[in-house]
Amino acid sequence: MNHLIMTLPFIVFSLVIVFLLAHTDPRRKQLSNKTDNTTNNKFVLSSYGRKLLAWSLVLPFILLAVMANYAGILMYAGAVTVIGWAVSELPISVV
Amino acid sequence: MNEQTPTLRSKAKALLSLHSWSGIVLGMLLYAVIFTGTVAVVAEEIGEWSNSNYPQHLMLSSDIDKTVKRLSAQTPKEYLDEISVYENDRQQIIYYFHTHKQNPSGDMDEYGVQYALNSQGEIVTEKTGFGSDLYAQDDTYALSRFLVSIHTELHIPSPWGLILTGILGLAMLIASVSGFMMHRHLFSDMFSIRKQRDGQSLKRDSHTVAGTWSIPFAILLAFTGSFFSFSTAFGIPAMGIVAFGGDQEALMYAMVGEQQDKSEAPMASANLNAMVQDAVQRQSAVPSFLSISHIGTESASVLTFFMPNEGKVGYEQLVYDGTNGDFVEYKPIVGSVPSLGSSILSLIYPIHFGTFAGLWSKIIWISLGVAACYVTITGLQLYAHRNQKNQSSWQWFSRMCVWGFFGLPLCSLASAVGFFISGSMATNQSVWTQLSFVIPAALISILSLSIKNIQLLKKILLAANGLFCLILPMLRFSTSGTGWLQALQHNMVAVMFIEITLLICSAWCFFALYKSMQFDGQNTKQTSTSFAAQETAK
Repeated sequence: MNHLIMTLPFIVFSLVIVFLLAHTDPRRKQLSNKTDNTTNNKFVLSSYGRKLLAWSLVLPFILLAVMANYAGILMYAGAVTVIGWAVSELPISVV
Repeated sequence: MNEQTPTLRSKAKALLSLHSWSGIVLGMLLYAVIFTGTVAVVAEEIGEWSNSNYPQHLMLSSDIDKTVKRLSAQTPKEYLDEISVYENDRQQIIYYFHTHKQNPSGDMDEYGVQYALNSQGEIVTEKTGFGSDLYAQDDTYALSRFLVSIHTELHIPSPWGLILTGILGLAMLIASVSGFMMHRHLFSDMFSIRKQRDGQSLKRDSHTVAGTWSIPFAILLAFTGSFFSFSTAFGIPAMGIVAFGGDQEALMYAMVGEQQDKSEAPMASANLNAMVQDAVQRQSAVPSFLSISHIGTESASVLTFFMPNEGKVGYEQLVYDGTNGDFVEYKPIVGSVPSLGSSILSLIYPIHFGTFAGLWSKIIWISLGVAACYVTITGLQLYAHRNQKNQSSWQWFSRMCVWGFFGLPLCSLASAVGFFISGSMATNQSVWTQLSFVIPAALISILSLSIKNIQLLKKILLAANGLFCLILPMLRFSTSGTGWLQALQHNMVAVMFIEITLLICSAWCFFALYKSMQFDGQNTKQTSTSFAAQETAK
C-alpha cells in the first residue's frame, strides 16, 4: 500500500503540470481567441518555460526508479496519459 | 526541397491509407476486443460483485494441513500428484486433487477430483473431471469468464479465436505506429480540439488528441495482447514440436521447471500451515493459490503464488520443501533458473491487464481502455461521417457504428442481468449468461435494421444502457440481500467499486441522452426560425 501512496503525489504533480501546459498552449489559445475574445490571456509562458515544464514530467520516473517503485512507474505513466487526454478534452472556458 | 515534397506527400498518403484500412477493416472487432478488455481488467472484481462475495482469506483462517490430510484419505491415489488450493468467489476454498493427462481435444490438462469446502470445512460440492471442463462449468465465474472470453478469443473455437485476436492486436499496433508517424504536429496539437459550428468537438481533433496521448499504451497493450494470442495459438505448440518432438508432457515439465520423474518413496510431509504462514510473512500478502506436489513422498514440494506486491510488477512464486517445510527459492515463472525470458513473461500479464497494484492500477488501466475505445469510436465515426457526406449509400456504416458502439455494452449488461436472474431461479448460470448476451444482440440487430432514423436508434440504445446500469445494482441486491451498508461493514471493496462505476455510467448515459435531445431541440428551433424567415421574405 505504501508504494501506492508514494505514487499519488507524483500523479497530482503531473495533473498540475499538464493543466499548466494546456493553459499556456499557444495553439489552444489561438483557437479560444477565435471563438471567445473574453478568454484570460494574462498567464503566458515562454516556449523555453513550457519545455522545462514538459520535461519536469520525466522527473517522477527517476525518483520512482530510485525508490524501486516499479509499479509506481507504470501507474504514473498511465496516469499522465489519461490526465493529458482528460485535460485536453476539457472546454477552453475551463482550461 | 521541391523534389522531396511529392515523396513526402506520397509517404504521408500511404501511411494514411495504412492507418485508415487497418482501422476500418477490423475496427468494429477491435472495438469489441478493446471494450471487453477494459471490462476484463476488473474481471476479478466482477466475479466478487456478481457473487456478492466478501473475501474471508480462507487460506489463512482454515486448517489447510488437516483438510488436505482428510481429503487425501478419501481421494483415489492417482490424483495425489498435485493439489491446487484457492479461495473462490463464494466464500469457499477449493481443493483440486489431480494428475495430468491429455483431454479429448488432445491438449495436456489436469484431471481429478475437485472439492469445494465452506468456511466450516464441510464439503459443499465434489466433482470429477478435466480442469478445463470444471472451470468452464463453474457457475461462480460464469459472468466474468464469459466477458473475458470475448476479449481473449471472441468466443470463436480455439485456435481461430486466438489467431483473430492476435491479428486484431497487430492491426492496433499498425494503426498506432502509422498514426504516430503520419502526424506532423504531434506535440503542438496535443491540447487543441477545434469546435464545429454546432459547438460539438471536431471528430478529427478528438480522434487525434486521444490517439496522441494514448499512443505509448496503445502500442504496449497491442503488443502484449498479440503476444498472448499468438504464444497460446502458435508459440507454445510450435516450441513443443521443435524442441520436444511433440512431447507435450516434457514441454510442460521444462516450462514449469520440474523434473519429469520424481521419487515416489513414501515420506511424511511437513505442516502445510507453517509453510503458508512463512510465505505470508515474507510477502506481507495472502497467496492467490497453493500448488502442493507429490504430498506424502520424499519429493513433496509446496508452491505459493502471489500477485505483484510492494512496488513490484511481476508475480512471485515461493517454493518450499514439502518434507521438512524449509523455504527453497523464489521460483521463476518459466524454467528452473532465473532468466530474462522468465522475467519478461512474468511482466506481460500484469502489464496487459493492469493487475500489478490492486484497484488503483486497475482504475488507471480502465481509463486507458476507455481512451482506446474512444480513439476507435471517433476513428470509425470520422470515416463514416466523411463518406456519408459524399455518398448516401454509406449510411449503413454509420448504422453499424451505432449498433456496435452502443449494442456491445448493452449486451454485456444484459448478460449480467441473465446471470442474476438465472441464479435466483437456480438454473444453469453459465448457459443463461451466454443466452442473455445472444438474445439482446439479435434484438438490437433487428432494431438497428428496422429503425430508419440513426439518431433515434442511438437514443434508444443509450437509454437502454443507462437503464440497465441502474437496474443491475438493484438486481444484485434483490438476489443476494447484501446491501451497501453490509458491503461497507464487510469491506466489500469490489462490490462497491463495480456498483459506483455502474451508477456513474448510468448518469453519463442519461446526461448524453439529455444533451442529444437538447441539441435536437435547438436544431428544430433553428430550422423553423429560418423557415419562418424565408416565408416572411417571400
